[in-house]
Amino acid sequence: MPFSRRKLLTRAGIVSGLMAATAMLPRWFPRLAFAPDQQEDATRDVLVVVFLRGGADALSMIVPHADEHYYQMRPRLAIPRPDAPQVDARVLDLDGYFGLHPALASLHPIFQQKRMTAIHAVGSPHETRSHFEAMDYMERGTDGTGGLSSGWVARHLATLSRDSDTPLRGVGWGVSVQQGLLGIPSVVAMKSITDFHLQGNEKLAQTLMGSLSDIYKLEGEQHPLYHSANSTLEAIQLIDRIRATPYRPSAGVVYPSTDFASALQQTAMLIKAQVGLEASYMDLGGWDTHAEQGATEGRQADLMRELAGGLVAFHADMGNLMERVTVVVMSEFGRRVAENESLGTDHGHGGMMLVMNDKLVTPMVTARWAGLAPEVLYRGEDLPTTTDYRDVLSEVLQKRLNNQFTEEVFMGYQAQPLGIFG
Amino acid sequence: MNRRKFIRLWGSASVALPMERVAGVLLANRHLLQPIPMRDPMFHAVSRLSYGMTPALYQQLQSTDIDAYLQEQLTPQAIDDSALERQLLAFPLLDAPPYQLLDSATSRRDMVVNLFGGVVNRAWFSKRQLYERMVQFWGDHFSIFASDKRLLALKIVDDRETIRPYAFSTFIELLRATAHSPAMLVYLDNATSSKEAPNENYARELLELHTLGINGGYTEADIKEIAKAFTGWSLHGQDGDATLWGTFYFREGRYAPGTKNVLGYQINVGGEQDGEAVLDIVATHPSTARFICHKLARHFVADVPPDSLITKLTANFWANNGSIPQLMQTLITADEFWTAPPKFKRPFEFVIGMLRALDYYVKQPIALQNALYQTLSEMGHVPFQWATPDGYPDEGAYWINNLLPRWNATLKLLQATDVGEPRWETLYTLGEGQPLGLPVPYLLGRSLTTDETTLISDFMKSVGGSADRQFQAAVALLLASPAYQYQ
Repeated sequence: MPFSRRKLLTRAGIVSGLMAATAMLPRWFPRLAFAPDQQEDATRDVLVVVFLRGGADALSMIVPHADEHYYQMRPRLAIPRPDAPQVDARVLDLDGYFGLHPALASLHPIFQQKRMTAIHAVGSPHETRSHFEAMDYMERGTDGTGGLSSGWVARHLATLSRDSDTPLRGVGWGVSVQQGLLGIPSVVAMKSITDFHLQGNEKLAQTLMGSLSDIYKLEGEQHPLYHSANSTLEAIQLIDRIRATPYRPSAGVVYPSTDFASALQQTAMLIKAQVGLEASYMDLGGWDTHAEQGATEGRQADLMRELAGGLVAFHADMGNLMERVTVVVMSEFGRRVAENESLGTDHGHGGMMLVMNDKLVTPMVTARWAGLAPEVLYRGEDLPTTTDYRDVLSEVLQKRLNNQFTEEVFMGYQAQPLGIFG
Repeated sequence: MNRRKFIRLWGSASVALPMERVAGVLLANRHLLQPIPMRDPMFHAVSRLSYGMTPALYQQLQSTDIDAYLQEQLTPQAIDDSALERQLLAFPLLDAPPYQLLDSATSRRDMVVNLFGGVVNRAWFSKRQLYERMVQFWGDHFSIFASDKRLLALKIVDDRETIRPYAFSTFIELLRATAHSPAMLVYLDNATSSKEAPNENYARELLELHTLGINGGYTEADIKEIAKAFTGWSLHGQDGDATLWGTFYFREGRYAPGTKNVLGYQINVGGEQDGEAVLDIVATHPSTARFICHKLARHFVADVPPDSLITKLTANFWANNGSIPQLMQTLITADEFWTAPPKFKRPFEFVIGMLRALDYYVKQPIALQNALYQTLSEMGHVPFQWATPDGYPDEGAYWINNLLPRWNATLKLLQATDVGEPRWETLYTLGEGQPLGLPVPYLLGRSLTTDETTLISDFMKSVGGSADRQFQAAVALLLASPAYQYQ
């Protein structure tokens, strides 16, 4: 059988055709190939999910500097108050009660412009302190009482479209697609757009691509391996068209040279290239700071700097497009309020989330905050979860991604919106 | 047993799709529960219990009974592996004492070359293949992230003195060795734990990942008590006797005295023995046998292993005090093993399997090793580089969405370079008399279907050129094809 480049091009052609049909819209908007059962205005945001793996210590990131108990329980790890004298670094105040860790300082202006918001004491209602269980529940969008094996982002995409011919609806950055994005065909794992092609002899590669498509199809069209091969081959074709031009971020923007920032930069590239990206999912690991966590400097501060550096560059690079992109930062749980003997913190409960988008109307920090007195702590030692993470995600889906089916995405959960988007 | 967790990726019959809108799009994976049709049982056993077929093994198994081969594999100490031992002399740091590895004079790069080189060469060339697969299995079960120079040094020691000596002994001996391993003590922070505020990291993972499993029946209180029991378990620092640096050391001053209540037992033996008592309790807990047997069955049989097999293995675990060779004997002789459904190869097994299948001729060992490291890093499966203590995933769903680096690894290995090349003559010989002249039974353990034959024949025609060129391109397609992705 000859190389079926034609077939692949035809599929890509459908995407282009749809783009032409919706030409009255700004061209970079994500296109939905088929959404026949919905009133679709195709003005939904691109969703970017950043998962902080390991249970990020929320209390060091969005610091409750007006809470006396925080300083009592963290004698060595607490971040000095915004007005602390004679220290090298201190909390940057947000609202008089909470403030940012100094390593997140570059996000401070974005907060002040109301383009970023923090939700505190948020997390899963499930009591688990296991990383793996907590991540599993959170990425599948459940409270731990069963549910589907697919991820919440995958179900979000699934509820919006029965079929899609865009091979890059969802991209999981790294060596595997994240659990939150697993369960629909049109997702791929990717580390580098530039390297996303078959190597070696070009003619052989071209011939091989056609035959690979055919030989994987013999597995059956419902086979996940066929879907994976097919998405990969289609993505190679699609990326081939944009790969030739090296990506240049907006003037003056330099992304840090980290894997995390690279994932954001490539997300920006795909958004601007209008290849139909709807969800981009990436990780930043290393937050399991049982030992030597550090206060204003150290392990966690370095991670925060990496997080902020990437987000700031992405925000600047996207410019006005940030009105059509929502970034959600989350972690499986927060950490114990009291520090341990290894200058670290053990697994806790409530954590924090960040949302970045230019259409926020919320205060800089949203929290149902009961304080950190021992009697209000969960199990006497952890920050209680007073906001369900699904409330935040549901609101993002409803208000920014035009998805009214959040009860289906979250398997029956009735969300209570916080009003961060008004 | 946390069944939910095990079905979450591949799904199973119990995955309901109640929502119509979702159901049309989300993938159904039930076909994966069927055995691979037409596959030679001999090939199946080799594929699961080794790092893959080689020309020599293929020839040996034409005249030797597979059962005899497997029995031999179950007593690895009786197998002569001296050729490999000589090869490993190229990696002298594998034998270095901890204080030398930890010394600043030992470079990070040298340690990576030695550790990675040792793992690759053993998997590739050892005649004790089943033993090497067990080493990999336990290395994942007691996973250590060799993230920095110190952990790299200690992982070299851990591999040599903890995992390798006990990989084929009993579970409790292995568990005890890992609990004392300086690499584990550092990685899971027990080394810095002390009575004032015990560090819970090791205690939690000991229960959740090493023994009882997540729903194995323990509480947060058990974790706190176990953390207390292990206070003082640490390692020698650089001060004092320099030759002891990096070896196990019980720090009396950090030990939290008093009774510990662990899983219904009261522990009050005192000192270092408190931790030992915890290990006895957790190693013999009913949940542990089942958890370990589930993982073994998942690794060697199926992502969703049959309950009947887990039950058999668990009974064996009890009858033989967790003897690992006995467990493997039971697994290998179980019907469930021989009728196992496809299991997706992880990248390391895939890459080593290709080197073995291609009878790869190495011209520049270190350059090849660097290329393999790079390739495995693109696929996310460099040994001891998984960041979290749960070890590399052992379910296909985690790995299947990253096919491109696999295809590229195949293309890279098939090209003759100054680093090395396949021994094509061997493969030509193995293909003689086969349809299209291709060594398909050798590579896939079965014949091609009619559809596959047509497809590959057409592919060879469009590649064109000499017969050798077409043969080599067809091997690329076979190795990149779905059939070769399964073990």
